[in-house]
Amino acid sequence: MRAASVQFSNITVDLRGATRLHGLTHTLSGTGITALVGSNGAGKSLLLKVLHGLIPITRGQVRWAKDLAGERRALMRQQPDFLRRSVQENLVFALEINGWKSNQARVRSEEMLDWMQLEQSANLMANTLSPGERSRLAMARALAIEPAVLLLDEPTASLDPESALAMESVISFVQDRGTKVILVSHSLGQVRRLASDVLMLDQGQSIFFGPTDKFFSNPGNPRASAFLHGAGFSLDEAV
Amino acid sequence: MNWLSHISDFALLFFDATLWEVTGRSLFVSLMATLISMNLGLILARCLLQAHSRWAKFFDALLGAFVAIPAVVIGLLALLFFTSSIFKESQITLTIVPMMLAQALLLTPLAATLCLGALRTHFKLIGEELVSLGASNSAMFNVLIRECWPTLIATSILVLSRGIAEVGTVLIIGGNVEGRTQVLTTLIAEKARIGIYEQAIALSLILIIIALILSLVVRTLQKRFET
Repeated sequence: MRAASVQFSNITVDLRGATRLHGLTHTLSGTGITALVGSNGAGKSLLLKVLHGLIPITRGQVRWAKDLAGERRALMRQQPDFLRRSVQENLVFALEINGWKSNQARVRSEEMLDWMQLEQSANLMANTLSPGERSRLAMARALAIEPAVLLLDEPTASLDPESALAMESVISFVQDRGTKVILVSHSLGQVRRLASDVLMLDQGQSIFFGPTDKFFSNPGNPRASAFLHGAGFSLDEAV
Repeated sequence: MNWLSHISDFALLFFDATLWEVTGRSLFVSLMATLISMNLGLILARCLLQAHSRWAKFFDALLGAFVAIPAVVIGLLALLFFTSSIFKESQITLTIVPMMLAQALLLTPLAATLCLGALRTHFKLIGEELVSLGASNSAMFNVLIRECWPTLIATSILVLSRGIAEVGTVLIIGGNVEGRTQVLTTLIAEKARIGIYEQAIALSLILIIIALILSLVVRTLQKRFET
């Protein structure tokens, strides 16, 4: 795995006649976990999609570090969709369209199923899985291609606390191996446990970007402070 | 009316080799036309699936309008085309080949519209996921075809039903020549025209049975798809 960094300058995105992201300019480090936080509709998921190239930028640009050019990026969407195929076939498909040969893809898919504890469900139709299993399959599919950058949109939203912690340990493990993780989360506890830095958006504008400790101790922005208070955090309080 | 005589006429019809020859020709012409129109329909659907230009929208609307074009108009256009100087020496007229092609021309807008609808429905469901996984346009199209194949099979059967039941195109371009271009619908039209209503009704019943079987297949496929 290689370290990666992403620099975005003056990113503005207009959608359906309204500006959803307003001139975002930041450089995310090539390692660690960057958390995107903010209220509903702040533009977090939109920014993830922009970074993944799913939504075109109206103005500005995203520049990935040179060592990342041509490297794989994977996005785990908040509500992942699967093909009308078995769990394993969904993984094999994701691998094959990313250039893996059929037999290698099958071996890799079995490894991922074991890792995500889905081996018992390998032959079930993916759309019949429970929400928690769907999240694990989506994570397996994202990680299977060995991405250099992993974009996660609320990966634990539909999981029970135990499964959420298991998913967090997977995210930490992946990050430890050198994968850059950009994580959208509404769980500030999770952000505190996992993230090395935080980017907070409010109505498409960046209102805080910096280390996680600073975000939770002194974000320096009244809206960010109000957001933390609203979420039950008092500043300087470890949760 | 002597109903016994009608029933015996109908029963005797089943032992008539000409009936089976005409039925077989009807099915063959319409099956080939369906095959051609489904292929053309899928090509058009692929072109229009992710096209957002004004021309694409205009062409999309045009396809919808062409679904309702009268069969006799297509028949007339095909007749003018196949009797033009290009085909003067080819002896192609009054064979089933121009019948198939004219019927394919008639069915293509319907096939394209239905295929496009099916593909768009599935694209809305999984399109973004496929793009985010890194699927190329061709890989995405192949996946969409595979994902919605029961709908596409049902579509092709609906297209076949329309083809086998139409009379305008095949009558104009084929001419209802006995043993060569006669199909069920043109034979029914001829029997009705000369007043042999019993046979016309019996032939219609065969056409209805074919339509019912096709409808049953569509329903079975749809139920299977839903489950």
